[in-house]
Amino acid sequence: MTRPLILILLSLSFTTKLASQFVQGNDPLGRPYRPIVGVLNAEVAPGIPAKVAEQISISFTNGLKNLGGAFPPYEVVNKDQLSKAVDMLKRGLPAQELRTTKFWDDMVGAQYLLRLDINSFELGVDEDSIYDEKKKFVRVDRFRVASANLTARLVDVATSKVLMFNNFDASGTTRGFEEFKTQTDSARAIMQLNKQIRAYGNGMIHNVVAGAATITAIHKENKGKAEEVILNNAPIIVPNREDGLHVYAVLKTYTSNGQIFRDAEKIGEINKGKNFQISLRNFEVRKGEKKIAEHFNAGTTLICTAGGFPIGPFAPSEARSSLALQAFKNTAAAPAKVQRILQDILSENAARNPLLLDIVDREIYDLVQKEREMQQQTRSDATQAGISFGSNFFLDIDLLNYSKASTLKYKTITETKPVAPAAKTTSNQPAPATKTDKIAEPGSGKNTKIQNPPTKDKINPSTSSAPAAAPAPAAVEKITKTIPDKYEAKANAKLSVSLVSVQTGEVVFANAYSMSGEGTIAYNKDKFDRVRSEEMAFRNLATTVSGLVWSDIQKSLTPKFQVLAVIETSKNGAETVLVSGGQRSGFSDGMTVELVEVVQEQVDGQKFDRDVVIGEMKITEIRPETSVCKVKNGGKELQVKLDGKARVYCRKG
Amino acid sequence: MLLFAAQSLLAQNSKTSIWVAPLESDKPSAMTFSKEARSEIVESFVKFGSFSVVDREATQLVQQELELQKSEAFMDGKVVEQGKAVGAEFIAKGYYHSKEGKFVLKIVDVSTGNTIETDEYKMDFFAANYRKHLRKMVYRIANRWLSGAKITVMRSLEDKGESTQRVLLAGGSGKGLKVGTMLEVFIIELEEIDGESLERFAAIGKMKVDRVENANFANAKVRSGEKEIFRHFAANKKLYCRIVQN
Repeated sequence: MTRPLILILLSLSFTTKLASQFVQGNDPLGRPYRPIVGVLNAEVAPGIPAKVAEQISISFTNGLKNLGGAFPPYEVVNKDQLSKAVDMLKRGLPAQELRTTKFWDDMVGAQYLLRLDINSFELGVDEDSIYDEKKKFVRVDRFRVASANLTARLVDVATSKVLMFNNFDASGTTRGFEEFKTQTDSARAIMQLNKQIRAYGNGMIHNVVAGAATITAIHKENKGKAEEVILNNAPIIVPNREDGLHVYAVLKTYTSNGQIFRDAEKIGEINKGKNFQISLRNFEVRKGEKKIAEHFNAGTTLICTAGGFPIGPFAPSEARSSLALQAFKNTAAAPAKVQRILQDILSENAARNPLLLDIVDREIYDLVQKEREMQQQTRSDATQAGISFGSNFFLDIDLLNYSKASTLKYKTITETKPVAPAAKTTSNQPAPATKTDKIAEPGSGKNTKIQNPPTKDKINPSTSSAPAAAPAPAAVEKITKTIPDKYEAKANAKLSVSLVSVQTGEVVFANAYSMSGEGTIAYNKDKFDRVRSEEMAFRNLATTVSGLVWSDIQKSLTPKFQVLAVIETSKNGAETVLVSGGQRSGFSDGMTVELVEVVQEQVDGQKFDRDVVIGEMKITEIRPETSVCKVKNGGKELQVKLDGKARVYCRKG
Repeated sequence: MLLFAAQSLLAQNSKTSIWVAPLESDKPSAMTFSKEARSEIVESFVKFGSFSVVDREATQLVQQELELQKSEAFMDGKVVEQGKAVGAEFIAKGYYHSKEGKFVLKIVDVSTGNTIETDEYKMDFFAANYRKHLRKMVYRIANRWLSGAKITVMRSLEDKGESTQRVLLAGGSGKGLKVGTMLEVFIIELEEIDGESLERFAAIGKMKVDRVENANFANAKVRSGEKEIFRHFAANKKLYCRIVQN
């Protein structure tokens, strides 16, 4: 009993030591540069064999650990093993030598938790029609298919924000002829399925948890241009030489109502270059050499990232409202899988579409909280405690109606086959030499090779009286057949969607959606064909409806963005200003926004907010967390209001 | 700083709050549609824009979340204000009389228990377009309800000589005002009838809404009675208006 636990602890000790080697300081918000992703135990739907679920889970985790063969910019740890070890240490059960390990010193808490939900697993038989070149005939090959539907979600431990929510299908098949009969065939199909799952896991979270680095020095400078710079975290965030990093200059940080807004501008690009040395972490400047040198020498913080500017979890603030996703209602009593598909697709779109709303997780909140508590107990350098995002809204969704129908469609095909002679010919002429002709199959659009009768005794009856010199065309018989072609399915659903305010319990948005979706699956004599076509129809329906739901919700929210500073002034007052909304605020280049001053009016002894329109502006540049606007009118009044510390915002007109 | 208007208004909201109760019927089989019909009524009230529709179905979830936000994990994080739940001033109650094929929607005042508005429509719950009829019912009720409400005319925003051109109204989208809404301006005079003092709404002009600032305030352009309105403002008399055409 003790031996496996010792192994777990030793392996963890190694993992955490490995992790700590790369934690070479903290990011601008105090987090370790090399993020730790804790993989939770997979949530397995009832009926799925435990062994299969375990294999799927391991394959996915292995995929996460390997970034296309490169070293990923994050560390993956198994939270189940870790918590077992922590529990063990807490109980004081392990042997004396284990207690003396530097486990606690080395342990780094996870910044992110990932959970895989294994929603479904099916093992079936599929078939393909394959043309055999050698034997000149179309053979039907049956094979084993293993398929699964999975959901991976990545949650930020500090804030409980959902950074990624991904629902995907994976499948694996046997490849040999008629490989579907034995247990080994099933095992092979599952192995292929696991390979695909591993491939999906590979790189799935890379862009989300890539981390960031800062420029600590200019290594080579020539005539005021930075040619090479040194990063504090180089090899970790850039796995490949050719991958560039964007350089953002944090021009100024604004604090408004206790919240931080970084006005950052992209000023250049760097990459590893030929002279790159791991120990030095020197990067070549590809773009913006002059600007990088100027900003660095002026003491500006320069942040380098593989993707965009680290917004999201790196900027915990009230800048955005958040929404909790909960289990949806199912008045229609639709199958659990259907409900799951709808919920997952809606959640996936919500997490991918981060305009205006952050998505917070409450399904695995207990596990997130457990991780935080563990980090508080250890000597971890993680700074995770106490900055959770509370949810401003709930999404209340009820599947009111659900119906599906599928029909098996048939097709008519015309097959050709050689005709047997009606009678023996009396001619002494030899039959034409055996050859292969190409005959187009009417209606099918295919060419099928047929073989002429190989015997000398057989001749084409239609040419029996023809002169012997002319080679007779092959005699064929056309047979028309009606065969099953495909399953066509249609799914209909009606759902009501309400956005409920947590603060007040009010319904902020409500709408009903009546949708239908279609799905087609080729007929393969597989028992899952019909079910798959119906699922495909519902999946298409759910995809359409989720797009509409998020677009409608975003339209219903009318945010206001604070005017942070005046950049340029003229005789007309404020000419160019900086506002708090950035890349995820729903702004577009050239968009016109209203300038409003929020004042309070007293009506019958009660105070109410009033939005007084004082002018109009045009968005001219959208930066990560801020935007630049050109004042069209009301510049003078705006300047006066700002000088008087008035509350001035802009909003979409 | 980005604020959701919806949120910022919640604390200082002049909208009428309403809860849509579960629908009832004398025929249990008709109740299969009740959830759908109710969601349509909720949706219609929300879309009308003048009401705060409160949800009582998600109360448990809301409470759980509020409790969660009191915990240490949210100490330096982001939380909503506690104790700001909106209570319903009115309840919308729907009843389907299956024998008559009639759906009746009533608005009940929570403080008095009185039914203040009612509307009915002959409809078949099994008909495809019943949702459309429900929506029309809600809109009819809402328009009647709001048109009776008096809105305070706060002050003049623009004067020309001794006539008022534009005014500020203490009512916006929360009172059902839209750009183009026609309003009647009136003063309240007390009339003595049989020894009893009764209020009389004496019309003095007409206005048209030309800007809705938010749920609480709007601006209107005076179409008639400019001088009369100016005089009343100058005399510090209270002016009101009500919707005549929306």
